[in-house]
Amino acid sequence: MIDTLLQDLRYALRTLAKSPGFTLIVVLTLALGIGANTAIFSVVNGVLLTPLPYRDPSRLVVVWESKGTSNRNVVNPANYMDWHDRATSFSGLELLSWTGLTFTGDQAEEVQGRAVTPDFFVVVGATPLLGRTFNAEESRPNSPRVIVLSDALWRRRFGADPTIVGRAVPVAGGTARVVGVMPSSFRPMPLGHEEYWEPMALDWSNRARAGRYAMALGRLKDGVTVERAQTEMSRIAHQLELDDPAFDTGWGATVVPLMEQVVGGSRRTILIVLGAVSLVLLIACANVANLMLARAASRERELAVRAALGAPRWRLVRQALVESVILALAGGAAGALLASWGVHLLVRAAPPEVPRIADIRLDLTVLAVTALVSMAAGVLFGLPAALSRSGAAIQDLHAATTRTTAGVPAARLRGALVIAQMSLAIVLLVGAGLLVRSLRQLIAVDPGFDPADISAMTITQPRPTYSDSLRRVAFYQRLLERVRNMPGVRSAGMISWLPMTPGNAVTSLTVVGRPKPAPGEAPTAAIRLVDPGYFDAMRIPLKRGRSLATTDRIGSAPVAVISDAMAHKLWPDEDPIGQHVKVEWWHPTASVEIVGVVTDSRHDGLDAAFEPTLFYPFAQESQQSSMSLVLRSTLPPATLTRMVRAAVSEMDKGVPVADAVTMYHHVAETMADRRYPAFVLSLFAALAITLAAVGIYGVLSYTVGQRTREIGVRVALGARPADVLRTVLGGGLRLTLIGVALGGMAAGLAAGALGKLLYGVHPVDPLTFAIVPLVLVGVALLAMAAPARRAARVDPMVALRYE
Amino acid sequence: MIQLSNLDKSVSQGNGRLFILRQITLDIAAGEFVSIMGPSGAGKSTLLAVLGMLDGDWTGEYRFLDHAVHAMKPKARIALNKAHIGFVFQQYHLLDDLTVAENLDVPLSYRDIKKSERQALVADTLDRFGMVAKKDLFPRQLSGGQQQLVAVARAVIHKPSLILADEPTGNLHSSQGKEIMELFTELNRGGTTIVQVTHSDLNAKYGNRIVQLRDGWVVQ
Repeated sequence: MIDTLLQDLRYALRTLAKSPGFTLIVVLTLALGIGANTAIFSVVNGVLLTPLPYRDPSRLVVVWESKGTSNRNVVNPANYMDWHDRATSFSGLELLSWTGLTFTGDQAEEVQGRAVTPDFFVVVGATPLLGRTFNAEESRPNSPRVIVLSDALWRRRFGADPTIVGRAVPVAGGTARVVGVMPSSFRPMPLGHEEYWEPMALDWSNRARAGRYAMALGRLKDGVTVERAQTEMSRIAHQLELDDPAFDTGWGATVVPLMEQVVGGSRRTILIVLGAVSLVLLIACANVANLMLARAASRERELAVRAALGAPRWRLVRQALVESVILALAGGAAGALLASWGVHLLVRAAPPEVPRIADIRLDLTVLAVTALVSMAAGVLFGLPAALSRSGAAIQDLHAATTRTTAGVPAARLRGALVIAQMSLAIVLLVGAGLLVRSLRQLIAVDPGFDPADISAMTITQPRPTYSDSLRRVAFYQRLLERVRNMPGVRSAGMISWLPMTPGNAVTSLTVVGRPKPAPGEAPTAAIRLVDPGYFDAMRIPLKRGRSLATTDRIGSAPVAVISDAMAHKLWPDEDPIGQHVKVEWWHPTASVEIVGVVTDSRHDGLDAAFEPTLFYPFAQESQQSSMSLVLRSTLPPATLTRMVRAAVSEMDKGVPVADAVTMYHHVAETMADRRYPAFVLSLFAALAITLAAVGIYGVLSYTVGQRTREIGVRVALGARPADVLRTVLGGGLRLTLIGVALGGMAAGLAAGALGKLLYGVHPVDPLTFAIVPLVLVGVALLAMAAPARRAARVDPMVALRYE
Repeated sequence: MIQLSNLDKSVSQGNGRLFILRQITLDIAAGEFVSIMGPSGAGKSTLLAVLGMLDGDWTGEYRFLDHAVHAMKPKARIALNKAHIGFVFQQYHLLDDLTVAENLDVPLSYRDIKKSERQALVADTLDRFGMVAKKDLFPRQLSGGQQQLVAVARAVIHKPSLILADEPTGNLHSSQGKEIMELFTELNRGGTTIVQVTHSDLNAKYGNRIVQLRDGWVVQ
């Protein structure tokens, strides 16, 4: 058995080496199909299949607050403390909030971090690479500042200094003592890119409720399910509603498995891409199967002789399969090489929203799956040829020894394979077409501001240095003055939360003069702090009243400008100008006068609805330490960064300035979740259509080759080249059209899976479903042109003499 | 060894059927050397294919070594073929990508024979046919006569009791043809039954009986 298998192997290798052209085409085709699959599978493996790098990660959950449709809302610390005291489902429940730190020294650097309750590292089950994590002492309010560094920050900023533990490093406002360094395998928590951790100073004796800004992370006790924890948390949230109706009415709690929190939104996209790339592999297999069938036809005599010499059918099948599997493994190896490059490309092109990018790699699991896929592909594309030819050889040995052309079943099989390729290509093309159309629709959406020539950069004042509100405002006002006078800058403004930036700042408010709303019923609005020049710089027109003015400063009567959506929501039949509101967030008691209404602009992405927004003069609101500077200028962002950094440095070397980005780029980033699958699917669709074109070219070339004598006879009998052309093209076109019809139906069924990835385009978009078949038919006709022309040029004398 | 009785072979043609073999009744005893002759299209090669169980689409009766071939399923016919019959074709039909030794090994490898035993058989056969020096050559490196010699060696290596040869010298010049026919005579003397299809009266004389076919009928 083994020695005959080795014999088959040796023979297959020799045969393949004898036809290098055929071998190369098959290996390349498979390399493309398997390579693309391997690359995408490495994403699936890294993101969806590999457990999170924490101890027993399946027991980790994130607990959010929830209200209405917002079921993953940030958490109020006092509510967390009550959860912590009352919940029995968790062996540990910790609180995390987003924070930042400015490292000072030669180069000031703003770094994102997380403030965590002391047992956070115990709950996730992580041990530091160096030093230790926090103790309870360090988590008390007013304790000396201590931090734990990430591996990346330790290497980048401190040159992987092994003596860093215990050292006080300079930060804005003093120093922070490094107590530990986490290993590189320790990943940031979801919704952040933290590079250090600091203790969260919670005052457990004070349960006054104000503001929601943190997330809770829990470890379920053994035997406790997510559902049971959810039931308990809902019960506790209901108790809290009764305990503090003013703050908690309408608020619940949501328990989300950590894995779901990390990858949830991307799962669908990744699976769609995996589905698409599987179709590419199927098309590649169909192509290779067709090539193998053609080749098997030319080796019919050999199979017949082997059968005549006593080869049982399974031996003929095995021999054909050995050859296919060798080809597939070679294709798999070449595919793995392509994939190593492809993974690099995918990771580089991936938007930051793609979770667990650091876990995407070509590892042994992926390579093992590649090997399995290759073997399966080998069997898949080798089987039709193996079965059809060995069957023919055994059933009618005599005929097989004398027949030279493909039999009817083989020809039908080849036709069926072309139809399958065309159908699969249509599905991919429709998918890509819908996503691209959707993207175009989205790009055409008016953001409500003019992003042309706008660059933005974030400037963060270190809190300890700028604890005084007047100082804070004065710094930004001086900076704005300098920036506006810079050559090449046409206008400039500032905003606390740049449009199209993930996350939001929302506050509830009450309208002065109206009855106090029931608990939980107060209207809400996004709140933004801006300087008076912001609307001008962004070209957001004023609709009514006045804009903000430089006279709106600390000490003057509190005023605000609102968006059109807010005017419509709160004063649908009244003039909002002159109305007063009380904003819960920062000034719950101050009465803020509405002085103007500006047109709506989008904050949460081009696909988001206009949100009621309240623009507050930043000179009146002095709590904000981080502001985004927007500049209308044709100068490149790098130049603007350099100019602004120089200006800031002259004012205060300790204030970090982030790199400038163009507003176009910033807006485009919000479309990344759609752009990425559209890009990948378009790439695969292009691959699919190329493979399908090669497929129909191959079939037609082969058919023309087989029918040379028949065509010669036809021409000799008076057929014109046009008649021959029509006959040949007609055959190819028939296969294409059947494929298009079947593929169209399949695409109609599959398009629904794109779901939320589509914007402004119906899954069965008539335009896409009309254009895609035309494109495919056009490409197929181009592919058929060469063999058809060859047929039309058949010289009857040469053809007949040849036969 | 072989008894054919009222054997018909036809193929569909238009609305009717075209008969290739008609009412063939023929006995061939073990140890005979039979030559089938007749003009082109007489059905000689088809009869050979039927005898060799390469063609199973016929009616009538065929007994081979007391096996009722007409009642056997294709798989059983193949097994019977495998056990008792060796083929020699006019075009040699050697496998181009295998060496001489490997070509000889092919029929053995399909018969569940141990590797060591196969190697011994191949070595013996190479020696017997005087092809030891050529064992590593590929068919394209051999002359037509040498190729047919390999084909005959391949046909007899598993010691069949019946050799069916379809125009075995058709592609050879006379001296090479003579060599092959002498080889058949020698095999026949050793007890192997031989049935050959030939156009050549000279080659037919090597046998001890001639069967004439015309338009599918046995005429002599």
